[in-house]
Amino acid sequence: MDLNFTDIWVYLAQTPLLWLTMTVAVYQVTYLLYQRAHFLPIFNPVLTAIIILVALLIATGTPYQTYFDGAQFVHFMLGPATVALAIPLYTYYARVKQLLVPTLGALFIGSATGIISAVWIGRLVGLSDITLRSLTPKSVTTPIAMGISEAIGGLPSLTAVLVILTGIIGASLAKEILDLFRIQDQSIRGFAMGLACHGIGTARAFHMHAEAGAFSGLAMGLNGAMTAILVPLLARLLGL
Amino acid sequence: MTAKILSSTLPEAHPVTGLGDRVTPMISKLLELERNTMIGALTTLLLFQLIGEVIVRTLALPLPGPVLGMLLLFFALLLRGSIPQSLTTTSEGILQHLSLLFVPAGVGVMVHRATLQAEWLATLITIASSTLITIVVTAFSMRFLLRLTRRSSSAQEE
Repeated sequence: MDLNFTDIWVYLAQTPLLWLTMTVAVYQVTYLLYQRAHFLPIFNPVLTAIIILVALLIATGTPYQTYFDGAQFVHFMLGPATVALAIPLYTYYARVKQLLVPTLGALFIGSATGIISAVWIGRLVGLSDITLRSLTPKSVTTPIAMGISEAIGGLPSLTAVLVILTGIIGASLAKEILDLFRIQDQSIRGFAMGLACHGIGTARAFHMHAEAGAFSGLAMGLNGAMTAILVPLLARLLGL
Repeated sequence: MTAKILSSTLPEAHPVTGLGDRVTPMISKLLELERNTMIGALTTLLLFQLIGEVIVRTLALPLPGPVLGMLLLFFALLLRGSIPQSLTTTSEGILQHLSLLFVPAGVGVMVHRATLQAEWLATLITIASSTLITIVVTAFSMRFLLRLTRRSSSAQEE
């Protein structure tokens, strides 16, 4: 009972354990909240977990670098998770093969739309150059988007935040907008969500329907590659 | 004559020989490391990510390593013709909690508070409208192309 609480805090603050545990624990709580709220979009667990963690970090005066030293183990799993998308893709391969032309056509059109609309609208509302460059690859999964952003002179860490914001906004509104336009085919719904809002959209699509999830994962993977190719080409045309 | 050449290049007419003969069992092995354990499946995923990363760096491809890893694993599964049980279970486990993996990068928002505070409205408008436009355009173009290909294939049948 001699141990001083400050000593414990000083020790914990130096190990990766604390913030790794906090990341996972806070997410568990926010996910439970999301379930309780009947999957209401504004209770998106990524959004609420980020808000709570940022509040905790500010309250304890912890710099982001210290937090990331612990949380990086979770962040790292994005790589293997991307590779793991090959499995649902293979499971639905027969259906994908059947829809090869519509899939690849929609991939090209959708990917270009995501890039061009971001740059045009961003200019229209007067975004600064650095934000615009960081925002251009917003539709693709974080590690890919960060690489693209760096290549066109954006801020990779700002891109990570904008990508996640895109995912949250897209996943929150996708169901409503797809219902509004009467898109009922699960493969189309999933494909559009994965293409426009990467992993967060895919997580939401899996939640809506298994086939939508598989197509979403496919679109997310394909658009990662397509955007990586299109952005450097379009950047010149768009004058970035 | 042409038909003969074509059919001989088809895999059914031409059972795997030469290089493929050696490569296919090798890939099967690669997918079944430590048969049916979670560690084995995780090793497979990491190995494919590593291979993807090495190829991307060596050839300076404009593609992220994990995406190439995903494509390579997909082709490996096609060659093998089935998915090892452990790989299904493990990947389902990871993909089920995909959202969690975005949290650490998202917390990075605290570093960019100043930038975002200055342009939060413009940023929000851009992201929301561009994302919704992308969803709708993608969905409509896919539906249009689906109907187009269905119509042409049913026209062929008639």
